[in-house]
Amino acid sequence: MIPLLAFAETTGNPVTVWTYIAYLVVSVALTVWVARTLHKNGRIFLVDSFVGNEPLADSVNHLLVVGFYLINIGFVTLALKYGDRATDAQTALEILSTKVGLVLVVLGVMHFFNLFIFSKMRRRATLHKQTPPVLPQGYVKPVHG
Amino acid sequence: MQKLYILYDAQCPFTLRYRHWLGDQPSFVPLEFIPFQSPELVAQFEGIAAYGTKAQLLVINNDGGVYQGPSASIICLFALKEYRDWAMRLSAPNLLPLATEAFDMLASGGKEIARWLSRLDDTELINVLSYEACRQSNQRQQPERTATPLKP
Repeated sequence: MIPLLAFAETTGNPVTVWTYIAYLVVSVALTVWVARTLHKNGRIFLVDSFVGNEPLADSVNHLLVVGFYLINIGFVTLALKYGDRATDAQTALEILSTKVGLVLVVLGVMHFFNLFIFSKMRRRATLHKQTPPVLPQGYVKPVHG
Repeated sequence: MQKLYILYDAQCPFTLRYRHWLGDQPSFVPLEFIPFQSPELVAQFEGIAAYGTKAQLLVINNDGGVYQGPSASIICLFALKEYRDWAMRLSAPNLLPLATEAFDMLASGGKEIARWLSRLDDTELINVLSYEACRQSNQRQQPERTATPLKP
């Protein structure tokens, strides 16, 4: 903590630097929390989407989490400099709030996009399992085949 | 259901068109098309003559089950990846008698018509299909009358 403190005090505007540090910590923590929650609770949904193929569902679940981390941490780091600079406590809080809010909205959009894709896949999978809705009117004997 | 044999009348423009449309659609199971005009292929199915062969589609599954009329239309739609929903919907008792008209509209109307039809509720769909059934029976009677004098 001491080197970080010293770093924040020596370079640039200390308020801006502290805002950035807080932004990174909060955003990355939120990303990790969302990714873990999705990983844990999304499994059942994925298993159903893949018609009970558990190894495939686990594999896709893991790959999704990796993609999720890449996109979100990528976005968080890219957006670090975006927007106004904090000069005092009030602007620091305002800017921190805007930035974290943006990260949350991006996380939410990605989450619903994933849900949309998988519910589509799930519908396809259930369609696949259906049995014909009508019965034959009669039977013939196929000679071959 | 692992395979469907679709028997069609190659001399009937309607069933020929259905056969080509079915052949173009992505399907869940392989479809094999057999024209009534090739007796050696039709002979694979013992007793099929009892179902009649003129101007219709007959569908036979791999267990020898024969589907005719509205059921044939439904089982064809059921085999198609993009139309299984339609098969489930049309198999309801109030829509089943109009399944042939629905199949005709889906097969000849293109994606736009299919999308429009899928937005209709059951009552509206029944109205549209009944109107279509009426229009078609009028249309099909016309050429028969003009065709008679041409016979030698």
